[in-house]
Amino acid sequence: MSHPNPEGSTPPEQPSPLQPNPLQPSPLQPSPLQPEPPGPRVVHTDGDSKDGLVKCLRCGATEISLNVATGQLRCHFCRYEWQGEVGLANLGLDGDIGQLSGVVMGSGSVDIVPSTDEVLTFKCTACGAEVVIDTAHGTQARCHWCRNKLSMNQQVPNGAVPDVVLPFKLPKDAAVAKIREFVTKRKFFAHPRFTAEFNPENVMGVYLPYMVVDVNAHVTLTGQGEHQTRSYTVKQGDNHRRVYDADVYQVVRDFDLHVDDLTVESSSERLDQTAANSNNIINSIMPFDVENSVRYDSNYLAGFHSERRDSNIDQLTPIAHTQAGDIARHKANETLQFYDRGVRWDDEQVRVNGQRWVSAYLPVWLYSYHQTKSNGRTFLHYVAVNARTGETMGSVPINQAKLLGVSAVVQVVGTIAGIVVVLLGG
Amino acid sequence: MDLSVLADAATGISFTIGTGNGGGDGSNFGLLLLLAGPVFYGLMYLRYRNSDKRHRHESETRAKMHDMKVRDDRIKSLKGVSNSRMRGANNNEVRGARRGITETLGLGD
Ligand SMILES: [Zn+2]
Ligand SMILES: [Zn+2]
Repeated sequence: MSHPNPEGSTPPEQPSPLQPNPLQPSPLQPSPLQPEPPGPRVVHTDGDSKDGLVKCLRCGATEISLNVATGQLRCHFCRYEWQGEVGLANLGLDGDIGQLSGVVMGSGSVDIVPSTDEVLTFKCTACGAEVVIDTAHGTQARCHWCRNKLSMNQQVPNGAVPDVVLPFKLPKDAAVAKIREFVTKRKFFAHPRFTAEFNPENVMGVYLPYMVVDVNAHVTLTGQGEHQTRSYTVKQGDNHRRVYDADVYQVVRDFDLHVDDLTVESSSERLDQTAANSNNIINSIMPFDVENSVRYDSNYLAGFHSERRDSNIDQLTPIAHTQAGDIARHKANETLQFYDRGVRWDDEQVRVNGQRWVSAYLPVWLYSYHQTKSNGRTFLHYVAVNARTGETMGSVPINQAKLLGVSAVVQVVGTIAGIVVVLLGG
Repeated sequence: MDLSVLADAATGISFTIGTGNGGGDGSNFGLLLLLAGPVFYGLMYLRYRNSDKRHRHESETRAKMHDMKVRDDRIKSLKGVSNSRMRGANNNEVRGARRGITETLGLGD
């Protein structure tokens, strides 16, 4: 609120003397004598963030948390509420995608340094005692001596403090209702033990780590497309057969592609999407309205859980670029309606000219259920609710015996009906 | 037995038939009915486990195209081909989804 000149508040120290000053706009025409592409441009997103006591602006208390109903931070003592700083635009991370060149990243997205301490010690500014914050479980801790709450808002390279956070918007009772509705619709074949133990009140509010990527790419797709000109039947012996005439075209689509807020998971646990887990459930409740994120403030996490980012841009780049290619192919289809029989791309060039990476905590209501199967193996089921849009998806354990039994009955009925149809049809 | 389950199954099976590779004649319909059990099982499995669900990044991500240049040159005509779709068409392909088909159908475990 009181930051008339956010640019003036950037700390003087830079991560590396080789990096260009992030406050200078990158030169439009790089010197031709400079063969190396410039390294990533880091935009500082924790410029004037302070570790330690974050006090209520009115009464000075440190008991502050998100009021989900208003999206504002609220003081527990005097009930004063205030709006967090808007994220991407103010941080200079939301500019024209067409102007992006090279790699731009928020300082909360830099590579994780493996040796960085997980447990950090801060000095309580109220009483001077030392307070420990275990960043594996959050970015806040209470001073044992004076009971004030300390927040960690400056970024250390261990992935705990992202650039931005998207606050919870859907209240817990609404999430509970959504989960209950989802599961109630899937009762008949649900495992009886799950049905007996189902308790959506146990839902957990979790901020999960993501990378949000803007991509400025040049795309050239080359191939062939087919347009149907005629469809008719020909007689072949006793049978009629449908055949088609088509025109074949050489097709090229060459365009600039601006991808806005492509979002990928950035914890290795959530990236692992195999049959052994139901992480795809959490994946499927995207997208989030990331554009409404605010600058990171630990107080948004009070009362919620969070998972730390453990994947770096290098590891996530192949996924992001492959998905950008999918988006290119999908967008190009808007210009290909004429080719009603399809297009076969023989050559696809997606050249990424610029990309911008921002790390974010996004809000998810997560109901989890640990199923122990008859063979002793366990499976973790999720019902997940997007805490911004309310989109809900889940995995419900199945009563296999019942489903197999009913399938067998369906098979018998189908077999009889099938024989009748074949006899009548033949 | 719950009627909505049967209704779901019926729509599911007719959906499968409608999009199947069949020419829509009676014998194919009959053959598909002979697979009613596995089809029902598969549909219910996906309805409860949703192992086929994922974020549709290719369509759900905001994106804009600029400075479009196109070329569309007719090179030849095909007469009397039997397939209704172009062979090898890949313009709807998605490669950035992280689960394969075996995972989707729960065959991996
Ligand atoms: Zn206050
Ligand atoms: Zn203290």
